[in-house]
Amino acid sequence: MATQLTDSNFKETVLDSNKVALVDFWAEWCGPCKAIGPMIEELSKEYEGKAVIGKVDVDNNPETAMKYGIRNIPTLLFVKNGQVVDKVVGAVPKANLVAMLNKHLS
Amino acid sequence: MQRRTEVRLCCFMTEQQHFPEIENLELLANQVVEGFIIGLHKSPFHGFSVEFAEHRLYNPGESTKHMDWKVLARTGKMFVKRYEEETNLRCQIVIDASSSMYFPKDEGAKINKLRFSILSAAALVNLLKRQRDAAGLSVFTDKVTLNTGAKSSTKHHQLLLHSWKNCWRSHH
Repeated sequence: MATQLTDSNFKETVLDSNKVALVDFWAEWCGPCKAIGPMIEELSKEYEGKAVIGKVDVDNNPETAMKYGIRNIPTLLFVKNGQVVDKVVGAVPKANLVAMLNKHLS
Repeated sequence: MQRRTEVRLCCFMTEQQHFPEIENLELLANQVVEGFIIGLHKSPFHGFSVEFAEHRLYNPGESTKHMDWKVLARTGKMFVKRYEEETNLRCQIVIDASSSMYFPKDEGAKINKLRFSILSAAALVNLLKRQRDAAGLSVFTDKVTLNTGAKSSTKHHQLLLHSWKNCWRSHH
């Protein structure tokens, strides 16, 4: 299951991690977020141990959302060594995310 | 998709005992497309090109046309819906109208290569018209005899059909 990220554990789980992280900013009421939700869960299983796959509920964690200037949801951030290295806005096919993850993992 | 249209068109051609007159070109082209279109899309206004992709924060002053009112009512937050960009196809149909296209030259033959091309092109344009895509036409022999831009208006599609009718008649 994808890691539930919050304002309090974001730094420790994502920024301080030595793994690549894929962070999904979502909200319960957002249709496209629900559409990509299962895809994120699948990725968390497929990349277990290789990458951190986490989700941030923007309603409950406004600080993190504000810090990264999230104005659109879903927004997916790829974080490597504490830095945002890629960003995807909107619902995209799984293949795109896999390609981007592999690119940052290599 | 293209392959299915082609197959259907070929079946349609071979089924015709007496090839209909050119006045029916629009109807003929419609018949070919009709059977193909049914069941493919519910409506040209729905589908991939207008897929709901994301929510964006509403900027004060912008149009409320795409406001997600349900989200506003449920959460008090102002978000607008954003859709996938429209994918527009611009199709240019190029027809060779040189003498080799008169094959078979048999007087009794109701159809030759050129007539087949014209009907195929008319069917394709009908398909494009229904998808709100732009179509243009170029006809050439040893020189370019007709060249139109690609447009998606009904008037332009009628102009193309009219050009084909002329082309059909002048090469009969």
